[in-house]
Amino acid sequence: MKLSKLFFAALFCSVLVSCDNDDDPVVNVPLGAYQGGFFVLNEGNASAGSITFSTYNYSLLKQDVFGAENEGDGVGGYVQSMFFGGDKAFVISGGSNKMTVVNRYTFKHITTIETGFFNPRYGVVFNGKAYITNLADFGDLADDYITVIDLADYSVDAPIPVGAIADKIFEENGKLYVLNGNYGDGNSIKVINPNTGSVDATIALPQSPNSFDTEDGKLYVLTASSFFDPAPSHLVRIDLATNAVESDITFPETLVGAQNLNEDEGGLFFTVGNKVYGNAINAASVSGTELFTTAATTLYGLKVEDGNLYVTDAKDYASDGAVLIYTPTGTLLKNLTTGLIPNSVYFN
Amino acid sequence: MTARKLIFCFFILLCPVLRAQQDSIALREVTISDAQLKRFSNTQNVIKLNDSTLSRNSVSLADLLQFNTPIYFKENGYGMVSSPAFRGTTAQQTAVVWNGININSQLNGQTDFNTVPTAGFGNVSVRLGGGSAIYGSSAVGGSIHLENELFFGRRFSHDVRLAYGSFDTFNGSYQLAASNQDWSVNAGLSRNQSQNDYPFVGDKRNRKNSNGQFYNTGMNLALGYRLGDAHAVKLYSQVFDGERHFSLINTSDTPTKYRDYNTRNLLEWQAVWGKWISKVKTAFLSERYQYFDDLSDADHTFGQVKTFLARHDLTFTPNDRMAFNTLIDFTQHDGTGSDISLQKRQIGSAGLLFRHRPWPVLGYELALRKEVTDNYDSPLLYSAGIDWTPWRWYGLKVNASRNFRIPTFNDLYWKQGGNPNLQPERSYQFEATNSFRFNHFSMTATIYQMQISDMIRWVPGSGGVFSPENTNSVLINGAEATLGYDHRIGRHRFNLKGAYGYTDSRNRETGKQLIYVPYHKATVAVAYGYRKLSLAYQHVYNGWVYTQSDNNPDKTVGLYHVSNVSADYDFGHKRVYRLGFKALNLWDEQYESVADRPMPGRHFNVYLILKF
Repeated sequence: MKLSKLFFAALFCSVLVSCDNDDDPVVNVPLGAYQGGFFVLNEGNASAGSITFSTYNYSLLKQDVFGAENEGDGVGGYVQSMFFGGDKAFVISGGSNKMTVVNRYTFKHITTIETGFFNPRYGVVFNGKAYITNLADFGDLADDYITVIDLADYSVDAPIPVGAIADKIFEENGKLYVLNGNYGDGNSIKVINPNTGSVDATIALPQSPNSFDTEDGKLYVLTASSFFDPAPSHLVRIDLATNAVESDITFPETLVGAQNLNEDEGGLFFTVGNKVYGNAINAASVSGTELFTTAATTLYGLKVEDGNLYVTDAKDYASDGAVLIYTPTGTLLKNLTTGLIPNSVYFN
Repeated sequence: MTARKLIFCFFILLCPVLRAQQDSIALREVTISDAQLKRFSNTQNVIKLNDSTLSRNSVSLADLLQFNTPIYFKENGYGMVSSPAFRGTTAQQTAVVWNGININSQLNGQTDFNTVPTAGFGNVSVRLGGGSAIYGSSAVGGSIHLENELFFGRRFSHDVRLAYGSFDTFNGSYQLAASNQDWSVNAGLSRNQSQNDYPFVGDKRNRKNSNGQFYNTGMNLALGYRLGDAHAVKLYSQVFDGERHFSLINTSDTPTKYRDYNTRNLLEWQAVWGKWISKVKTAFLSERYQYFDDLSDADHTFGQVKTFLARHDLTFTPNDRMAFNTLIDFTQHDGTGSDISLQKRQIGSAGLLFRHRPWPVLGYELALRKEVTDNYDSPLLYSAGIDWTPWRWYGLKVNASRNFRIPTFNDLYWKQGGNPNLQPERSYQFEATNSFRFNHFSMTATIYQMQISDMIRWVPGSGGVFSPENTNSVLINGAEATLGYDHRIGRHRFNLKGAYGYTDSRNRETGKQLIYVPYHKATVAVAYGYRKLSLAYQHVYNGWVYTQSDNNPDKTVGLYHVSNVSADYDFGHKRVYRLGFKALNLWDEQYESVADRPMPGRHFNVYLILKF
């Protein structure tokens, strides 16, 4: 996590410099056409999702970069998420139970893994292996598991049962943290030893976790109520050294179903409907007043990076989507067209 | 220009050259339950698909209508979910009427045309345009009428049809018709099954349709008993039990399957007192689906609705120029399922139909209907039309109607997102049909305009949960043409039927064409018979469609031309022993009707029809 942030920061600096100067001294040898920009993952439909790329200065906007660089099958349907490890990017298709591995800079296809997945969600790379969560049977909340892929030969190792919903995942201090939440179900985090597959700790949460971010050894988790029993969201802070819950802030009554928690530059950002809310990272309470209302028809994802907010707009779920880039005060910097149902943004 | 296009053009150009006479379908002494289709549909266009058309087509309603009407179908691969867009409307705005009773699913509001076998129906008719004033919800774009006919008179006959073809496809049906002066029974069984593992045409990776196998079994019964001249009791039944695996799009998709189990029973007592005809009908319908989202275990979601209907249908015919018809209805739906909690819905309705032909050349029809229910406000439904036939060769029909589509159980009561405050979709429609008849020719040309408001659409709410709302309004401008030619010269029989539809169906806020509504669709069917030999050629041209509501020109499904050809010979003397051969998708067109859902290339079957 920290490493990758450093990496992003380095990239940002280089881009900021390069805006004024084409003979950028920092990036001497470009690693590929897709270095120095961001990807937007378009969930798509059951048959295919796609990936859009934009440079940081928006001078180049390219749709379906996988299709542009590769022949054959696409990345699959209902593309859920993407994660990185070294010079590779891993694209997870939830609808097609597969993971496509590409070079993150050239987007050239490396391999596709089609076994070991059952409604896969999110992944993380740690110590030469990729760990991917699977919801498995949607009707069964206890059969979820982690697929383990050895990145040396892309073989599928024995899966790790989670014993609870397996959705978002990250690695910290050599442990896998799995958020046990999906659409209002589940209310914990499992801390799993990747080597033994044993659950080291279970962190209880007041509601279903839907998003998180980490900063300075703290984990910030946003939770939301079940659809059937609406209640204000909670923001929970956990000490990653001890896995202890340090604070649990209940949101104002109006903030039900908050999503998309992001930490950036000492602030926390999240969304309710098509509004963006924000808070100082250690504030004792959460304000019920929005920072601004986005122009998104259907706010579907949020990524906050270096002071800018990247809001994905799924529109009517049947049109080309958009990424709306805002300042924290709500000034629209850019509106970029994407593919069908953009759900997330990744910096490269 | 490819060969198949040449042939298509040839048939189009051929029509005006050929000589003509009136379409003559021999009418038999039959009784049907849906009297309104015959008696109160004179100011709209009705396409009748008779037995020879039924036997020439495959066994599902989807195939039959795809090749013989202007209705557009999208199909998630062959045999999979098939939903129509009739006059540019949605699948929920097309009513399927079984013996006078609307059988659209109460759960999703539509009929999957691949779950309606055509075996056993003596008649399938397509009534173009609004019909809610008679048939209630969903008769917005038009309605499809399935009728079991009952013959009275001494008769005992068997009808056996067997077909076997590519992809291990078997279709079989047996139909028994037995009657005397007082009793009539028409009962049958049908079975359709297929491995459906067709290779994708022109696929570089030689992929096949996988997990697309299906089977279904159907039973139908029509039973009639006459008590003297004044009374008759009729019972109609249908059972459909089908299972389909849903084809995979990507090879690593999770395999799923779907089961349908539908039963329909209708009991009718008809009494005639002079100029009055009274029909009391009670019906009990059940529908159930089960969806298995993962075949590794038996877990599934389901939904079911039981419908009870009671109807009184009273006709008063003071003279042969005039008729009054009242329809009083009570319907109760009891629905439950894994995603809807137990719900009951009761609907009462009253309708009045009137037709009058003051002069032989001019008639008019009026219809009024009002439904009452606790759930939503129901608009006053009406229809008014004029039928003017100044000359034997020319007629004009003009009709205006108000139609609706009620919210479904899923719309109202879906646990996660259902909106109990929904209102019906409302529609106004105006149409005019010119019809021409010259000797062997018949032709119609129709223009229509339709406006639909309060369209129910599932839109995302907070937390990504979809919920339906009355939003969007749609304006549809369209034109239809049909052509018929029927001629016998000695032992040569020629028959041609064509249909064309132009549909401009736009969201009024955005001005964009609705997705999966083609601007153009055309069908041509040509049949030739000589003594006991029959040859037939069918062609459908389907224009391209948008797949995204922003009408992104890169996101379309392309146009396609698909043809079937068949040849059969009747080896029987007094009886029919017809053996035939059919080639489907003759030109091996690479096509799909839904994006990334390839349809089969050229394939074959042999069929046997025995009537004795």
